Amino acid sequence: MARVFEISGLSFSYPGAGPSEGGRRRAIIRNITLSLKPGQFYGIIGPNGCGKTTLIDLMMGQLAPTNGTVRYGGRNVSDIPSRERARHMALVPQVYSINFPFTAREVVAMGRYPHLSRFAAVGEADAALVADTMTATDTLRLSGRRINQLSGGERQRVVFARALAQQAAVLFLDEATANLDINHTLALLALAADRVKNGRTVISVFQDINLAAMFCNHLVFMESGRCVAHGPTREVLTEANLYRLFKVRCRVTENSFNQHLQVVFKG
Amino acid sequence: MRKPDTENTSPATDFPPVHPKVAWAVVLVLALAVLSIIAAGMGYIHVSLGDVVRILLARILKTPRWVAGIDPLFATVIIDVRLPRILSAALVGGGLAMSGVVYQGILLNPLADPYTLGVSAGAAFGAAVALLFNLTATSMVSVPLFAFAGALATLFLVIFLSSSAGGFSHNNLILAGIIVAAILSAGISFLKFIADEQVSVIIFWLMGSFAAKTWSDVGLLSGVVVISMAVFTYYSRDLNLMALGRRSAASLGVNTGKVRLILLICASLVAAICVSISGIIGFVGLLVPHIMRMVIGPDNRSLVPLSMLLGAILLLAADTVTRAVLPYEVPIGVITALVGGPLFCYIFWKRQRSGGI
Repeated sequence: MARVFEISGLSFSYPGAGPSEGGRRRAIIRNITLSLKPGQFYGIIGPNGCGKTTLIDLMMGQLAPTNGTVRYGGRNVSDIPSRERARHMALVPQVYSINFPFTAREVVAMGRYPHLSRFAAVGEADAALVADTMTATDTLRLSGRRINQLSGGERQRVVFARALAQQAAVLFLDEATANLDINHTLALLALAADRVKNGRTVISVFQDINLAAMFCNHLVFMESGRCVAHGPTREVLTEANLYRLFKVRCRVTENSFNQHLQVVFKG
Repeated sequence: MRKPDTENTSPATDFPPVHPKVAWAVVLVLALAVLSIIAAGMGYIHVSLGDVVRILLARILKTPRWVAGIDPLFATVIIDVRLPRILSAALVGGGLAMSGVVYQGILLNPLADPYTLGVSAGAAFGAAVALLFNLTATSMVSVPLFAFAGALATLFLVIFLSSSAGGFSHNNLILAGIIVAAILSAGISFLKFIADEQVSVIIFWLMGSFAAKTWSDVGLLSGVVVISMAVFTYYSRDLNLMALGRRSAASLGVNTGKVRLILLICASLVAAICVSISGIIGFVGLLVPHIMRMVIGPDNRSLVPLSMLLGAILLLAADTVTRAVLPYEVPIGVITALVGGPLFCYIFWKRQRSGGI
């Protein structure tokens, strides 16, 4: 089966680490090799600071690897022009603030920009798509509101809608639902899962392991910049792996209510 | 639509509200033209509006018979004295407002302006050096050249200071700008201290004035403003995307590092040339983008040109007041600070109360 991402020997470190690092460059990503298939929902899980966000930036070509390669659809990701990349990959980051009073609809429409030439106006088809996306994400009623006056959850949903409007083959979620209530979290992740059914790929960073267990069919476990385990959720979501990553005791069980794996922790 | 929606009944049809912006552009262009003509007639020698229009048309259309019966002195006063000053004031106002929009967009900080980066202080320092050594005597362009050199050196120092962790962060950029500006203003004070007989030239120039501006000043300014305008227009959609933050903008296909650098250099060039022509004039670059954003929204594609027009109108009005209305010519930097400062305090206070800037 064709691969969407081929990552081999990927390493990354920020240049010029200070003497506190003993003069050595601090490695953020260490020798990761992974291959990702289309039509899958991938979850990236690991403790804070383990390099999840950096891995996403490397996969999107926003950072250049120190060593190794990231190939997207057979091409080196850094060889793909940035606007073309934006038609293939969309990102929902965790949004803290947007200082300028764009309306919610203007922000969602920005997701169409990679498909429009620099001076083109947003056409009717794009406007209809924007409206559909906003309906699906329950943000249509916020259309005319200023993005800087929305609550954190509302703003996050608008940014999610913007990424969906981008209609990319790969959707990256970087803790995209971290400040949402549970019904919006489930609704947005279900939208992402719908795209997976249509052959697209979702790659998502999760803090909530049970959410990941519900939605992801593959999990990637990361620790200190390394990929320590990856595979189908039912194979790698084990008590041993979770202890290795987070040093917490837990029990992984099959949940009869939603037929997914469930993790319960012991403090 | 699945749900009835009272706020927006037709999200698909009312999509880009272009018309109010076009209307604003027309209004501002007309206002600038009318104000320029009125200002050309005002002053020590009063010239009626009809005569001003006839003199201008005669010059533009090269039809000398239209000015028959008008004192030739009037034509000289308007064409050689007042018009260069009027156009300089308008271009500096437009240039400062434009660079304010761009700095605010790049720094993601609606309170940023040419001064926050220390660029104006750098330009002023460079120009003060040129004035101190009386380089104006050797070359006309030494002050703009030194100002641009000072502005660029400051810009790169500030970027260098703030970019050590790879890619410049917004807070670092402002912080570095403030620190460098503080050092530079101490440097300017030192230059004034050792300046001796040149001190009054430096002090008056620092306060800002459009007196004795020539057509060569207008030429330099309009060249820089037109080129920068073209660059800003080309990148204005990218600037919109950068409002979403660096990662989001990059994920939408913006080459953030490159766009940021080009826009910063270009905005600094405009700011430096403005400072070198007129000295330090505050609050135009800060206030005008704010006012315009309240009127037409934050879309840089229209915000840049409309802010330029409003900046031109406001600075021309301020210069006309100090030149032809007040009994003494008060330095224009003093007027803009006295009017703009309190106005800005009011807007700031009001916005803070209503949440968000």
